[in-house]
Amino acid sequence: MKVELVVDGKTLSLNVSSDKPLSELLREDVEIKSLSTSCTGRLCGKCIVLLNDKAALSCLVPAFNVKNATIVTFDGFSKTKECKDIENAYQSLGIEPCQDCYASRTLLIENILRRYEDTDFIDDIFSDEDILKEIMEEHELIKCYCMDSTSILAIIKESLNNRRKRNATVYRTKIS
Amino acid sequence: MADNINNSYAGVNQRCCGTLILSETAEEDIISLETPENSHCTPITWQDIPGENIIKILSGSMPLLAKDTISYKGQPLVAMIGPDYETVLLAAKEIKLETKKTEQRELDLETCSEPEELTLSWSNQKNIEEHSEESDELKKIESTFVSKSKEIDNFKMISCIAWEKDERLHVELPCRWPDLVKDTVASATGYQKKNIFVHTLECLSHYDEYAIFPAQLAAITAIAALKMNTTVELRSTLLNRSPEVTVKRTTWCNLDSKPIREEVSMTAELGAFLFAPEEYQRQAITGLIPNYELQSFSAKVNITRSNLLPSFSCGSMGYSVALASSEAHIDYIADMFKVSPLTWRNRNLTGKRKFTDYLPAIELSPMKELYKDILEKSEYRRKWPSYHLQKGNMSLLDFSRGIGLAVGVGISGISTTLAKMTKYSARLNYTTKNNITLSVSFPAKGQKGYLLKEIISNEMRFHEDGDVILFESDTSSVSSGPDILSRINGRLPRQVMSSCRKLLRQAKTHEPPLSLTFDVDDKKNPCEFENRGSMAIIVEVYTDDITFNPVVRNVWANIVVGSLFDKKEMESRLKHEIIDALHFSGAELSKDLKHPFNVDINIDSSNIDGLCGMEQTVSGLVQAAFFSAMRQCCGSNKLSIPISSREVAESQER
Repeated sequence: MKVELVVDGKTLSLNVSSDKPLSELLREDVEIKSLSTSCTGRLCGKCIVLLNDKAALSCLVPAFNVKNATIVTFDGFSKTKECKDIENAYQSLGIEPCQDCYASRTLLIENILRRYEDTDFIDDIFSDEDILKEIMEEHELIKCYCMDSTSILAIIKESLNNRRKRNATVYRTKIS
Repeated sequence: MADNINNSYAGVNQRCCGTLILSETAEEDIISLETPENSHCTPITWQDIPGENIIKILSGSMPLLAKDTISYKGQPLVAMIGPDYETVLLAAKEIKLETKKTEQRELDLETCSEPEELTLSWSNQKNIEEHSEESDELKKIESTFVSKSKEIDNFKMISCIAWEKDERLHVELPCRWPDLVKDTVASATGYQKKNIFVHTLECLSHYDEYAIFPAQLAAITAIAALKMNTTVELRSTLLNRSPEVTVKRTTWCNLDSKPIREEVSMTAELGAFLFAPEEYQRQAITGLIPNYELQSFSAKVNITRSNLLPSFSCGSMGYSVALASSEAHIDYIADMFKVSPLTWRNRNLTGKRKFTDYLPAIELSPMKELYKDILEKSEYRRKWPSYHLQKGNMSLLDFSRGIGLAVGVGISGISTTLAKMTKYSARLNYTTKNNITLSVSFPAKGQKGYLLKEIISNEMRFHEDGDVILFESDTSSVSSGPDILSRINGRLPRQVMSSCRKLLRQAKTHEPPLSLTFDVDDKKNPCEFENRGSMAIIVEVYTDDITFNPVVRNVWANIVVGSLFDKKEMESRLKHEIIDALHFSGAELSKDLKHPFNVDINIDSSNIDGLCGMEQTVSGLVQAAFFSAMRQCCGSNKLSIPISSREVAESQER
């Protein structure tokens, strides 16, 4: 079947089998390098992409479901300023995901940041047990044990601060 | 069929895709292997290999593709090459394999013989006689430490691309031993080594999974590329496995709980094919030497074979599991004398550990300083008796918590004996532009490369960034062996330092360019290994009330390393290693938001030249501390690493 989609800002038209998993489609037909697992649906969590701005396990999404979809992979995301917010947090805290889950973990953090970047008070997020539980449950999707919950929450908090600082600077520049 | 496919794809500048079919059974003779016809796919079997159908690793070897016999589950049988992965996977499903159970297991003794038992012993003859007369006064303590085989299934896929251009064969893949890739491709294809180019990709190897399998895959991909006369990409799931190890230890202590005599026997099952089993024995026996004074000690290490995936190096080559068994045994001794492991250690960590061919003598009392701080931070003195009392008859319900302590020294790299056999080298060039280039054949990207550059800059007193250039994966000029067992953080930095000094001396009398090829590993060391850094660790665990999973709440670690260049980076790396080792041991990390999992690490530098590779030490001590905590938690002597929820549940039944 013919699938038209946008991957990392590029509009593509591909001829693929309708039930081909998105992970295979991205790897084989678009030559995305950041997807390197072969769990084939066993939920290893290392093939996360942003599908229409929401994190998704690409090995579970069939090709017929991505018609006209917008997909962001780590190959494209790693070149953005948004990614720098998260990577700066890794650097300043001295905590970094391992190379195996780096791409998926970073995209998942981005997914969370997008949800909360407009919240007025960051501390409210990190004092709400339900939100914290939700965040941790999301991270359990990634079957890699290189990071503990405390580190993940610290990275999200730091990234959120970085994002808000950057957004405020952009806003001030626009006004001036 | 093959001809049709060849006509379809030959000469077309297009990449063919392939998958490696692995066996699902073991110890079976192949009666017939039928590949599907008219499927637009070409099979690559052992008959397509123009050269030798073997991969040679140190003293051992194994077939690239199974010929007549399937030796182990996961053995590559055939590669299917086709226009795209969907076609290939569909064709792979149609492969018909007929086998029969091998009646009598025939061992290829030339390539896979089990080594003789390795022994180590010392004794003060007079004392032994005295004690044998007074044997009634000695208490005998026995323990068994089992580390079960664990398949490392981290869902990793490895992809290798091979192509031929201008009579040169290129392979591109992630790997940690590029010389092995080159050697294997050369022997399988018959190409000269100088015409083979290995392009290594970055990879993260938690359990040395990129050491051997990539070479096997690269050779098969290269054969496919030559047969198809086009670029071929071959994929497979990356496999690795830890060996099954049993350590039986008997200690005779006097009535003051002082150990007098000890006998240890270790058996390790390393799979269907053995690679450097003697090195495994040397590493293991080094870890079996306990951290207390003994008048008599004897240890033996046996290697056995099985029908499982060969286990060469899985983050460790026996040292970490042996170290874990030595530390875990202290709990059994302390139990016998009804004291806490801490009290027993305080009494017996005195004097010197004996000098052996494997490790130099070390003062034992400084080890007490190592755990002094973390005892305070963890409140070990309060928690241990508290958890100990609230068990068995002392409470209605078992209070399922535990706290464990382990302390030890590390080693890194390979033994002096293996270093002498292998002749792995690196090269330093002092160029006419007054800069230094370092050539190594293993990948040294990232932090490792940065540290090597720092060391050279310090030694050569360079100040500019571009003064040191690192040529990694340079298999054309040097063969530096595999990047396993923290070799790159262990012995190489010291060798680089001394070579830099030699080069500086030469530069005083000779004009550049100067070149110096030196050994990667230290061959002049009097012992097989050196003490590399030391560590004390405390692990606090509890068992989940519903799932019975062992959950780790806190870890406190105090680590002393040699030179320390980047404390933050080192902390992060050690934290990863601790979490990895806990996961390997069967632990879950606490997700309780009120008491989340926490690691408290303190790192100091002893300012001794050289860096430390702490992977094996961290793994061994984490296993020991976790095992000790779980023993207290479950009150059971029947646990084995990795600890499962089933074992915990069984131990909780009254």
